[in-house]
Amino acid sequence: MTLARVHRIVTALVAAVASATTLHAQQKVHTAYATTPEVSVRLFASVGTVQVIGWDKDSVVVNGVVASGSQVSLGTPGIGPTRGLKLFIESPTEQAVREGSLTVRVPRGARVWLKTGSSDVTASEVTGGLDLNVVGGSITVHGSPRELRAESMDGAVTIDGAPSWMRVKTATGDIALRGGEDIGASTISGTIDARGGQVERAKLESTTGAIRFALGLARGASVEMETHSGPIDAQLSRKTQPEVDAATVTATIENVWSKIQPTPGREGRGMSLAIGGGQMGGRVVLRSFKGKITLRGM
Amino acid sequence: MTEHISPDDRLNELTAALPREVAPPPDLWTDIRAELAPRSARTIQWNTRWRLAAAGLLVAASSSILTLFAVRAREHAPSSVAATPKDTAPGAEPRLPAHMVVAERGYARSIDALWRTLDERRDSLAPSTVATVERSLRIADSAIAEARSALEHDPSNRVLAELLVSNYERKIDLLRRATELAPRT
Repeated sequence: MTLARVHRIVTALVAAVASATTLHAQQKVHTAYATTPEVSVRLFASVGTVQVIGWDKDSVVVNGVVASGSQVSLGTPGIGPTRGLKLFIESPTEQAVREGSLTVRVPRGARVWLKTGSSDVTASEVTGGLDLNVVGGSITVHGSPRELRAESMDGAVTIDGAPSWMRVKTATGDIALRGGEDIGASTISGTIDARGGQVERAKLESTTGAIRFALGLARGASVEMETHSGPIDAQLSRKTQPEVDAATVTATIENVWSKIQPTPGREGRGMSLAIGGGQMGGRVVLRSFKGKITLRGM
Repeated sequence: MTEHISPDDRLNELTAALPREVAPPPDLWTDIRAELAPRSARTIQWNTRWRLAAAGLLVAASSSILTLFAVRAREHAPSSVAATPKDTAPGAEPRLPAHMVVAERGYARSIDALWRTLDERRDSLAPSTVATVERSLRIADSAIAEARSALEHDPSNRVLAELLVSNYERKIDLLRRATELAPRT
């Protein structure tokens, strides 16, 4: 037996022992509840990943593993369907948080409130309400809940559906969304990327982050974009002809969407651009202190 | 056979023909948003610490009222209560419009209250979270200072006033969210 082969065997044994130790340091979580179709679920979970999945059953099922020594409070399933659930899982140490992962299946019409520390949260197929609050992890939402509130301090937030009502906030995390009826997205230094869908009302705002807008406008849509120093890149359809009102304090405005050119501000600083629109073409307002505004066709 | 239509049926028919919703004119959104702002404060009720909840509600309510006040004052007052650069005598101090001075006092009170709460909880937050919050607050402060200085020199500039108000609101919202973070995050 060669020395290299011995080395490989020893390495494999060490890895197997380490893996077994890790598994041993975890505890399984499993519980199920009969619920109403629009049950309210409140979950505080300090684990590494949380998946919330909407399904066609009137029940909530929680599965997963958490670090050994975690505080777990999942309540006791009752006899009849419950209208509200409170679930709590807290890891014993900051390091142990990453070891845990949870999958929570809820009725599609459920209202889910979830608060975590550094979890990566994914929610899919929920048509009720989602209120997701994460400090350091990311949030990804598939599907179109009726109401969505997603807040992350420095994690990215990605929404690939079109919720009826949506408010997304980050401090440094990037925001990606695909439209909806009533949208609000706000960040300090993250970017906002809105493209691929349609919107009725939107307010996108950043302090230093870039804003990219390439959504179709519903009839009579109202869209506001505002930044202090991030660039705004707005792509608008030439068919819908919205009214456009753009102004900067010190930055330039570049309009390659239409032939109307911006006018310089007083004392040569900043620019403004006003373009009249069609009757139901909607209105787009762009405001920037020193971030460049670019209008392009889509 | 003639089909009889009752008044109720007629009413139902008419209401069904109405649009599902009617969006208000975009110009009104600023006011409406300011009026709706307390709704976001409802999330505070989830906080188990009553002091935070009380402080949060107070701050959110006062912030909204101040925003409303600032916006209304800006709309109803003459274009600028303070002297514009053109009216200012040479050597005069640049100053903010009066409505913004009032609004700023309120923002300062809200920010102070939130800072005190955040300081109390600082030890329970993860260092990385504190670093993120502080970095973002520095960015917000820098933007506020820049917009404020520009508005002092151009107090009749409505765009500048709007941008300054938005910068304050983002800072207050960031502070509020930081105070609501759970321990050991």
